[in-house]
Formats: sequence, structure tokens, C-alpha cells
Amino acid sequence: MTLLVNDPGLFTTVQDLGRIGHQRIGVPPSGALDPLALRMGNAVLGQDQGVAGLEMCRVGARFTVAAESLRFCVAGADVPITLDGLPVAPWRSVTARRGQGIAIGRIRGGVAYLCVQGGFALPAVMGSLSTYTRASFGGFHGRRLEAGDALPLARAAATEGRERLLPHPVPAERARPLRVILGPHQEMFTEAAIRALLSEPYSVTNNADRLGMRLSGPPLAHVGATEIVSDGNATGCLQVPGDGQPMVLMPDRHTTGGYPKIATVITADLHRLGQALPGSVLRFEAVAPEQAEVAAWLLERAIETSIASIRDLP
Amino acid sequence: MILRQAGDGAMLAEFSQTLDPAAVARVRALDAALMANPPDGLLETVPGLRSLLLLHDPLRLSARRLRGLLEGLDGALPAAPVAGREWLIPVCYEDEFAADLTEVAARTGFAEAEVVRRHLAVPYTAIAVGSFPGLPYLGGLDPALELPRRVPPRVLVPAGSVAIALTMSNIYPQATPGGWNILGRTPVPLFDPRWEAPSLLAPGDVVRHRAVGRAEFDALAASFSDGGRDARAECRA
Repeated sequence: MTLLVNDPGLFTTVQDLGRIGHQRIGVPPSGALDPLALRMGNAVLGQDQGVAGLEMCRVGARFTVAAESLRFCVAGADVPITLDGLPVAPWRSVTARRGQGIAIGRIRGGVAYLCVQGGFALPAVMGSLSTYTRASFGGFHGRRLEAGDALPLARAAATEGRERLLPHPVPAERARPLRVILGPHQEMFTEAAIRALLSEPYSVTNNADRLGMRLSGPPLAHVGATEIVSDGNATGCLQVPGDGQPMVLMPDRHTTGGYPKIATVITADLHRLGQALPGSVLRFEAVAPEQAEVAAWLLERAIETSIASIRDLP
Repeated sequence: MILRQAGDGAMLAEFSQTLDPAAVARVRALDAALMANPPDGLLETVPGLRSLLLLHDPLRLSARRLRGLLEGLDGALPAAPVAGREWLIPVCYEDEFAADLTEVAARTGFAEAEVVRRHLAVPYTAIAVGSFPGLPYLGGLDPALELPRRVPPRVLVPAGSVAIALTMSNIYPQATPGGWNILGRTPVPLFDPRWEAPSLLAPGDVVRHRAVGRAEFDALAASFSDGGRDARAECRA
């Protein structure tokens, strides 16, 4: 009982909500770039929100079901999906029979997730199924998927019962600025740099992956030193090397870094950051920690409301 | 202690702007205090060279509460905990593995053999493990060997390379880009995700090196890789 990979897409990996507790030995959290989408995809399938799914970046993958049946849900950025050539909708469960083909097309955004009922029968590494390709561990043999891979499924067949639909996903709000908290090293930058960061657009360059995204925009000038004695990184921080072009660090980032960090994207907006891709234009807005905490709480309430709206299909 | 907001789910407790043994001791003491009695909502702590990063769930532990808690702890930090485990890590300093030994000798004014002797002479303490899985930042380098990092950095430093920069020595667990000055290579694996504790070294561990020739390097490398020897037992001092 496996899911066969016919075409792996551009960069498809097994990801869950990340590997917690090992940054002290240099192991980054990894995990879904858009954790909200993964959680919702699993919620549609009626299972734990942290079950590992397949994260597809920019271009989807094609699979063949090699199990009696498989219930799945595609969540995340808008993307065409077909089952044996017939279109199916995202944000709903669909049951495929043995031999049927699931094809996920070009993603209209950063990432989409294929969640499967029961998840994949893969070993956890340091408590997580997330793939960390740079050190070749986690997920499926520590690497991105390739054509011919057979991903072991935990379930031999889908459960009985009606398909389910999520009518109101939490919106990604692409046009809104990303909220940041200034720091940890904001005093190492000029006032003009802080003003530019909070008013000018920064576009995502082609140098963007699960480790980080290099941005391009008005240079952010340092007051003095352009390097620091390394300290710990948090996902979503904007580190600024000497050329003044920020790089926002993503879940496969290094655990420590030696460039000053001007600001950090708040927890409630990390899922929106995860949907950015080369060419995306990012704008930033500063908030206080208390506002970020309220935003995190509001997002969790929105998730609860959205999950409560999941209904059975006839 | 300066508390720096690193987002709503992270805070840096900074004890110095520079590399400073006193700051390292306070990082370790704060880390130990938090590990002994972790507040609800603290996800993990990351010891750095001069600061401790605290990652927390903003829904369960607010920045304000964490700040108050850290300020309370700072006044009453015990002395740094006793040193960690002791290790003896073999290093082969022969030419093929020592890409920068000649240059380090030239820049420090020592003979190559003297550079190696000085690198071998002192015990190192793992200040932090990070940037990459299992990579130890070893403090205690002979001040006469202090050099800046290489500019530009190498595109690929071979796995096991033992290198120095600033006031530290390190070991590259796997082939990665890097700018440190390479003096030799160890056959010892520093990281294995299959181990219960995947990093051989942890912050606070004490490391000494011993020189090995090429034949012993090859024999050790072979037996570590085929499972004949286990680095976790073999390298304990």
C-alpha cells in the first residue's frame, strides 16, 4: 500500500509541523512553509492537524494510488487537481481507488499540500517526519521526491463515510502587509533603513528556497558594523548582510547567524510568508509584541471557526 | 542581560556583544536554570556564543511574562554548571587534509609543526553547537593562533575538517560552505540522526585532540563507517 510518484513536480517533500527541541544541536525546525494549510487539509480528513503531508512548491506532482483506496485532500494555494483526468476541488476530501491517478498542476502561489488519510508510514527522526534535505534526514530518505518513489501509506484503504468539504478556508490575504516586530538588532540600522523597510516594497528574488528568501528593494543601511558575533535565528527573521538586501529566513534556516536582524515576521503571518515565491512583492508593517499575540489568538479562533464549518457532502 | 525581542515567539537573552568567557558561563547558567524548571509555553532554548535564544509559543507564554521571568532569574543565576562530558577526538594534520596550515603558519609566524603543537596543546569547550547539525564552536584556542575567517569563504569544506577562526576551533560535520582556516581532518562522525542524541557533542562538553597519521585516520574512518567502532564510546576521554 503505497502512493507511487509518477512526476515529483518541482520540489516536493514530506513535511509536518516541524521538529521541536533540537536547535541546540544545530537542527532547524523544518516543517511546512504554510503550516495553516497543512493543518486545514488534515482537519478536512478528520485527523490530527500535525499529520505529515506532501509539500509541493510552485509545481504540483502526479501520483498513482497503489492501495485498495486512498482518501486525500489538497490544501494551500489555488491549484488545478484531477483524479484520472477529471477535475476535483481543493479543500475537500476525495477517495481514489487502486490504480487511479492524482495530478496536481501549476500552483498559483507558493505551496500546496497533499494530505492523506492516516498519513505516511515513515519513521520519525527526532520526533518529526519533516524532511531536512540539507542534512539528508527526515521524510522520505531525507530528500525530495523523485519519479518512481513508492511512499508507504499507513492505511490500506479509506474509511467508510461521506466525503467532507471545507467551505471557508482561512483567507491568505496576499495584499495585506506582513506584520513584523522590529528587532532583535534594530538599533544597528539607520532610521532611514527602518522607514524604508516599513514603507517600501521588497520583492522576492529567484534566490528563494526552504532555507530563506533573498529580497530585493531599497538597501537597508547599517549604522556601523555589518556583522555580529553569531546568535540564534528565529523563523521569519530578516537578516541584513553588508549589501543591505534582506534575506528572510525560512524553516530550514541555519540555527545561528552572524548578520544583524532588523525585524521578524510575527507567528500569525508565517503561513502567509510561506506562500511567497520569486516575484512576490512583500510589504512590512511594524506591530508590538502584544498586538502579535492578539493576532496569533485571532488566527487560532479563525481556524476553529473554519474547521467548525466543515460539512459532509451528500 | 539585555533582552531582545526576536519576534513574538522568540527572545534573545544577550550577555555580551563580543566573545567573552563570562558571557558563555551566564548563557549556560540561564540555560540550565530554564531546563531544570521550564515555564509552560517555552518550546526550546538555543545556547549561542554570547546569548541564549528562547523559542516560545506566544499563545501560552507572552513576551511580557517571559521578560519578567528572565529578569527574575538573572539576579539569582547560580554559577555555571559543571563542565560537560570529556572527549578525545583524533585529527590528521597531514598536508592533504590541512588546506590552510601553510598559510596559518605564515600569518602567525610559527612553523607548521608549532601551529599543530599549539592546536593540540589545549582543551576546548563546546560553547555552542549550531548553524548546522552537530557543528561545535570550540572555545579555548591559543590566542597566538587567532585569525579572521577567509574571504571569500570556500564553496565546499570537506566533512570532518578541523578549522580555526577568531578565538575558536571547530569541526565541520558534513561538507558545507565555510570560511574557517583548515588545519586537519577527523575521521569521527559528529552527527548521526539515528543516534538517540544525534550530535556527538553538546554545549559544555570538553574536547581535546590527538594527532593521528594517515594510516590510523583511514582505519578509524573505515571502522566508524562500517559500524565496527562507535564514536560515542570510542572518543570519550
